[in-house]
Amino acid sequence: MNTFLSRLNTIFAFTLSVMAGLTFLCFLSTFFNDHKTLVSINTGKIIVKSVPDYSTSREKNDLGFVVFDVQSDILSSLIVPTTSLFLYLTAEYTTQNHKLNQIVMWDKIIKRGENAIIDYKSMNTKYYFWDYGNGLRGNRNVTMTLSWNVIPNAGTLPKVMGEGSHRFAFPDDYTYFDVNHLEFLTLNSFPDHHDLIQNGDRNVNSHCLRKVHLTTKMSPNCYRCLLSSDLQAYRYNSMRGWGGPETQEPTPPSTPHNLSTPHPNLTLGV
Amino acid sequence: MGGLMDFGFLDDVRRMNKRQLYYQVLNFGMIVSSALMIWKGLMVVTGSESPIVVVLSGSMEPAFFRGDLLFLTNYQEEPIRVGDIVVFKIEGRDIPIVHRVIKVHEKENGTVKFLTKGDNNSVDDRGLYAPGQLWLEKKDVVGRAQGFVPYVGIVTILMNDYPKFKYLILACLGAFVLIHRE
Repeated sequence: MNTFLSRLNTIFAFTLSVMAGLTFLCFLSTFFNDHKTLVSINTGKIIVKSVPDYSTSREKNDLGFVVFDVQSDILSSLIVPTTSLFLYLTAEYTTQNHKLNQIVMWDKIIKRGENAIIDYKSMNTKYYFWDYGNGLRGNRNVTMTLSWNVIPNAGTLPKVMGEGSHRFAFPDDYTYFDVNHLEFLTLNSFPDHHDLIQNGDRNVNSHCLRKVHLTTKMSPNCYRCLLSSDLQAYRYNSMRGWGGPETQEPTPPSTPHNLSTPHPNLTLGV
Repeated sequence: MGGLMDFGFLDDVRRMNKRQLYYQVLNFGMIVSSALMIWKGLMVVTGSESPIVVVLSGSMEPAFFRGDLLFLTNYQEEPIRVGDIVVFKIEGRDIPIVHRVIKVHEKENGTVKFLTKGDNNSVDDRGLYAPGQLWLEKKDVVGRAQGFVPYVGIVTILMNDYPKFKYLILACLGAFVLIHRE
């Protein structure tokens, strides 16, 4: 029965079994991977606001702002390179209503061949840190961990938690920014930086921002509104009562700043 | 060439007697029922109503691409945590969605509300949920992705996109099983 069809069939079947075998080897190669890695996480300025979350309801919920550093060398822990890694920074805490709350603050995809050394300083959260209710203010025990989901060529999808976590507390008082004063401050009190405002370039160099930061003692979230392209958004957001975290990358480097020593012109209410 | 093949097939059938013909039909039934048994067996073992799904969209790239095959489990005692890749169904939508959990709020009594987002999407899934729905609950979950095999599901996608192709393949397979003699 050596017809053309039967030969085709044999070749097809053989190819399939070879592919299946290779896929199985792929699965084996990542199955025994030891993914443990040290991670160091730190937080800078932390504030909490009570503002209505218009994306859900009109009720006021707690919205946290966290500036963080994260460092890890993940690639060294992977014996076999994988297709991609999905890294995510989780904040875990307990509130009165909810025994367990987990929020992804930031995430990143690392594809094969990309640099897997994580070293970020003074990052803003990528997603809003909304609580389901009002459980952030004065919350003493928020744990941050970095985990990643390993995506192999084929096989299981292990979730690995980095060794090392960071615990921080939210302040006992809500923070409010008076944006009218802020605009006044940025536009009039600091003419040196007019170029920055006129420029309106999103890729404003970090040096410039740092200068603004040092002179105005404003928080990163605040001085980012200096960029005129953001100013509109900030005005809009401020009408609703919040500034909002940065969702655009890259985040300009800055040093976390302590809010307890605000600039005299910058009105901070409680 | 084609004439020869036709001749070969017909020859096979012609050489069968009635008994063999019944046998072929029963054989066909056997294949169908064992496939069904494997599927239902997997449903029991994994606890998921559809233990194997095919990724239909690119919203989870670069983890999953169109045509990747996912193996799901849905054990009730396994808690839903941030970073899990869940497959969920939305009321009023036929096709389940594969996305990642980015927010979890769990109460003392175990009721859990969670929010999902596709890795490749810039916003969370609230726009995909039913109107007015803000959170997913445990009852919405079809399963959780435990493993995957790339590309294998592309056949299913082709069949879905081109129904004629599906009928052609089904007809060919059926005819082959019925006509072919061991």
